[in-house]
Amino acid sequence: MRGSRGVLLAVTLFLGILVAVGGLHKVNAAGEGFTLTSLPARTSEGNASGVDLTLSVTNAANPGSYSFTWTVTDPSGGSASTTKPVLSTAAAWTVAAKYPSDFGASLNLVGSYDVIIAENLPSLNSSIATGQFTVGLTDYTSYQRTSTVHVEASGYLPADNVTINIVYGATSVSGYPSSKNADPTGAVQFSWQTAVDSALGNYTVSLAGTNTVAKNPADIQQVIVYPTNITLTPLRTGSIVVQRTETVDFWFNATYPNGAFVNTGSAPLRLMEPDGVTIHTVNAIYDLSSGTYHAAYPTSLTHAQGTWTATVASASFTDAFGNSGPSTVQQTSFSIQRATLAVSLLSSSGTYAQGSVIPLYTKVTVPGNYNFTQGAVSAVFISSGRTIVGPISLVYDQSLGKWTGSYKVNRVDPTGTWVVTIIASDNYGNIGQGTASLNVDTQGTQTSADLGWVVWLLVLVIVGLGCGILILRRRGVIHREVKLDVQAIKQKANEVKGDDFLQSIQTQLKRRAERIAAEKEKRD
Amino acid sequence: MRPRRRNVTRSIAVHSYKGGTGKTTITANVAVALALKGRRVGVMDMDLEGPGLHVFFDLDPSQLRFTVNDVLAGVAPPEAACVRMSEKMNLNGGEIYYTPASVKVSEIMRTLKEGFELDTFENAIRRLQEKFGLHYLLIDTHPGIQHDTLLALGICDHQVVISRVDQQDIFGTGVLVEISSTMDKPVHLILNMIPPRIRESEVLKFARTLGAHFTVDMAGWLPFSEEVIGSLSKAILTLKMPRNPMSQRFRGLAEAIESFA
Ligand SMILES: Nc1ncnc2c1ncn2[C@@H]1O[C@H](COP(=O)(O)OP(=O)(O)OP(=O)(O)O)[C@@H](O)[C@H]1O
Ligand SMILES: [Mg+2]
Repeated sequence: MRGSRGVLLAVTLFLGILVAVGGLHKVNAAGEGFTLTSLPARTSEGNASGVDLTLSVTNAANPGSYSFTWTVTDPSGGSASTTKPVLSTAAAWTVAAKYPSDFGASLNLVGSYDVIIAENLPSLNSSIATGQFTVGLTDYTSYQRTSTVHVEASGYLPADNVTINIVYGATSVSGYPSSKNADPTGAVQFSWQTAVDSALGNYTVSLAGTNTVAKNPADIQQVIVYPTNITLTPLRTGSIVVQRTETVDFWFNATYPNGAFVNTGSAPLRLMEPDGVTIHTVNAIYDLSSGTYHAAYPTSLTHAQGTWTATVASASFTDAFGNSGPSTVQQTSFSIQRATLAVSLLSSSGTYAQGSVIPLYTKVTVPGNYNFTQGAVSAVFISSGRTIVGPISLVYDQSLGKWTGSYKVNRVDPTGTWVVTIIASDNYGNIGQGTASLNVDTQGTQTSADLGWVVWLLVLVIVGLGCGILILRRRGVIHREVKLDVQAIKQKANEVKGDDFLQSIQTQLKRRAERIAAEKEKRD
Repeated sequence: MRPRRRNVTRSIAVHSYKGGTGKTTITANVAVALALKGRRVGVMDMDLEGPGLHVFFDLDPSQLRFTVNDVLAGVAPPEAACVRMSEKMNLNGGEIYYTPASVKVSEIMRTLKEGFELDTFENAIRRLQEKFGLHYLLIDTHPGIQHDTLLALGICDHQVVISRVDQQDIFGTGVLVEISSTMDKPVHLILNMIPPRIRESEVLKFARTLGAHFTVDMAGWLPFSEEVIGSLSKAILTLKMPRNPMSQRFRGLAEAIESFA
């Protein structure tokens, strides 16, 4: 007893919900289910293929005789009907009516069309299913920039002069209003090409005939224009491997959906260091000469070595009008290696006697072809595989653009061919070296400067030997323990020299020297 | 043995950037080495804050009537504060005239507070040279870059800078040498307490490297010596143990000083 009442309640509720949910679906007394579908749910005026209004019936009597009437009410309030009989031979089947052809009607008005289906047989029911479809002027209601808006309207007098307008805000878009004659069937078709820079938002498309009786409702419809997507070609890099201080170049092309090349705006290129954390950014901008987007990233002597990745994040490219792309990340990688410094000793070759000064003017350049100014440059003199002196630190001379230093030849220094090796390095592992040879004669007799190939052979042998020894000797005890930071010392000394107290000492000493000189003069 | 230049006395300031580099030890030993060669050598303790020479010369300055402090204050004539050491030390015909500095705190404080006149100091040097016919006047100084010390250095004919080869010492020595060279006086370098594991060629190479960067002339170097440190500054090795290799070294330094141009 309680159970059957519960079932009844549930069924009633279920039916109630079905009715409430949209009325598309009803179950009649015999238990059939009815569903109406309008396809397409939206179309434009004059669409020749019309709208299929399909009624799906389930749980049908089988065999059985059915009859339905479709009534469509257009936006003006006018209505048209069509009736279709069906001989049921299955439990589920569909029956369709096509609007407007089956109804003797037309698709000439924009707006919402209401559909109601009545059952005539076997039961009588004024509304077993309802539905709706919409008619507009355009093929879609929203567009991306660069796409074409197709407009189709019908219901005009043949050859009537129809005024067409497309308005954004309060102003017509360029080229509108314009006019066009309706074709012999009273239809008007045209298309409007949106551009990469079309204003974004709502546009109103409207048509009005000259002799045609004003439509009710009028031919007016809104469309929305959205930004478009930019597609990028794969990110290319100029060099897969660079040395620090060299510049890494990146290129890509950008296109709109219509195939046109993008040439405004820019994209930030994110460069990620090998640590996977540190990010540098460089902007890719349009390069007129190559017709591509280009970014140049100058690396420095301190940049991390290893594999870097360059990325254009999705939607990070924006043109001048707010269109953006790419839809997926663009990525490439490149590798940065330590810089090999070019070291060239400019002026040391020659013959030096005891007491003469061997000048060391050295040009050190980075792979990026500018001067190496920060780091350590030192010279080592080697003769017969023995280190004579060094490392002597060279100091960078801003005005000369060279590293300079010197060595004064001593009485105890060996006579012969010396090889001077200059090593430039910094704390970041960038390194380079250069070698030159010179003749030293501490006995005072000048050795012949022109011994030809014999000297060169000797030099070669000694360079080889010297380099070997140098590597071994670089572990010399004092130098491992005590670093001679000449620049720091000179800097500190200059600070002290600037002090007042030292100046006062110097003035006192100077006054004294003058006094002594004066006394001496008096005496003489 | 004749002095190289009869009537010119060399005043030589022995200085260092850091303390404890061996100034006093070297001053005392080189003075003895020079005297043993027959030279007439003046030794003046200008380390007014931390005098130490009296320990080597085995004298108690508080027992003396005058010290260099009195000379600088203009209280006493320089010769009155000078002690002749040759009898006590048996110097083989040579002479050492030693001017100690006061070890009394009150006097040290007074001298430091009042400072001294450049002229007074200069006159004192000249008087000692003339009175005792000195060939050399060695002046032990207080380490570091201080007004009075630098002033004294500016008066002397030569500056000898003592340095160890440790990182801090070398840095300071570099700075000191740079400053000293602005006084237009020759600057000489002695590297001291070189650890035994460092080869001579390494020391020379390092000295040359220094010479390549700074206007300083390498006067010599001394190894670290157990005998020197073991003598607790009480004995002058050159006098007590002339055969010791270190004494030989000190004599080498004396030679270098004699060759100062
Ligand atoms: N070559 C050496 N080998 C070993 N010990 C040494 C050497 N030279 C000096 N010393 C020791 O180092 C210590 C400091 O020496 P000394 O007092 O001569 O230095 P200083 O420069 O005069 O010091 P201060 O700046 O305090 O006056 C002493 O104990 C001394 O014995
Ligand atoms: Mg001392």
